[in-house]
Amino acid sequence: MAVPSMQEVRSETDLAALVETYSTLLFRVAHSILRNRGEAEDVVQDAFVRVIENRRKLPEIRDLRVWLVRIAWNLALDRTRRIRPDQLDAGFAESLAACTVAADQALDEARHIQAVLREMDRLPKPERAVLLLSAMNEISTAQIADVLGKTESAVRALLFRARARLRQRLEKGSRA
Amino acid sequence: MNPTDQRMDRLLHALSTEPVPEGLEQRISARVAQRTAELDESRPSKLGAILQANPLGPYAIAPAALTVMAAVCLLVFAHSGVRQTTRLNLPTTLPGRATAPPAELVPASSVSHSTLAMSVSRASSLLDSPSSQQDPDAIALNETLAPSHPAPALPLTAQEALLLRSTRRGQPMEVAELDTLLEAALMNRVTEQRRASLRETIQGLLGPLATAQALTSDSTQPDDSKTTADADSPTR
Repeated sequence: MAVPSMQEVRSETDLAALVETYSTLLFRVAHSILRNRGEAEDVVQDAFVRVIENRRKLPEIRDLRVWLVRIAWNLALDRTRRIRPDQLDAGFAESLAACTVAADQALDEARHIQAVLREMDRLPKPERAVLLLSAMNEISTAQIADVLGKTESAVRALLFRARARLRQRLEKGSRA
Repeated sequence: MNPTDQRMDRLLHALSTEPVPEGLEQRISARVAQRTAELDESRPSKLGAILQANPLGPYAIAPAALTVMAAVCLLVFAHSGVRQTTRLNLPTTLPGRATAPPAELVPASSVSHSTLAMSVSRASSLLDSPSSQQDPDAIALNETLAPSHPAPALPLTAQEALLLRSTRRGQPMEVAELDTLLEAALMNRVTEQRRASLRETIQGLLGPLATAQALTSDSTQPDDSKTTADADSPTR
């Protein structure tokens, strides 16, 4: 996705337009970390509150999408330190498995997806961040690099390593 | 494709296409509006707005604040100097001090200006020194720095004393002082009660003595009759 131009950014300073444009993306970014819909919604609200508190700086922001995703990402990371692991949405894997396979295989598939989520949480933080953010179709590699403060090549390398490590661990776990 | 990769991609796709809760935008707008109202309430006052509008900003405020503080300090210092002079020039008009020998009094004219400029620490050290009892400057300074006590309470007037006594309980005599006729009647009654009690006390004390005397007289009377009988018998 192309980086919005300065004029587009300027025109997006209207708050209603910001909410309409970015609330879905921010919710998914927060939900990818938290896997809890209520907590993710709180993160999105907090992110837009930050926007209000820093509205004087809005014209100076180069890429509003990157800025908002970075706010939501950091808020979600802060929130993961405060909530317990059992507060994460345990039904996410079951719902995902149930809608893709038959009912008799749903339980086994849910167990596999739970394993993927568990191993994803165990990844090194940069690799995990790149893996989750790259899943969002609305964020380009360059924007991910801006959000995480890395270069594009570093993001690509991290993404490759994250997938390789995750695959290796999952195959190792399935053999055991 | 590897089933592991398929699961990974499916999971990542599910995360990226997670449906947004209904009413999310409305709740965000409400929260933002609430926060905006809070920020508007906590907006700085007109003075703050003027200060913010000032292009020099806080750099212009700091010298002004320092100037104001310096003026206040000068005023306080001048005021304390005037107070010290006033204290030292006050004559010792206390009644207890009126009969004191004049040698102990330090006239205001004899106090030098260096004494005026004496700091409190030096004054306290001077007062604490053992030679302060003999030093006339120390005595004068002691009198100057001594805390002023309120005047002692005046004695009660007759009416106040009467009112005070009338408020006491269980003493009809004092209440009766408000009414002279009742006072006289009660005084007579109390006098009679005192006399009666005195009479009873005396009778209680003298009762056994009278009984003893009566018994003594009874025991001596048969002997007398006997003697008289004995005395009469030979005559028969």
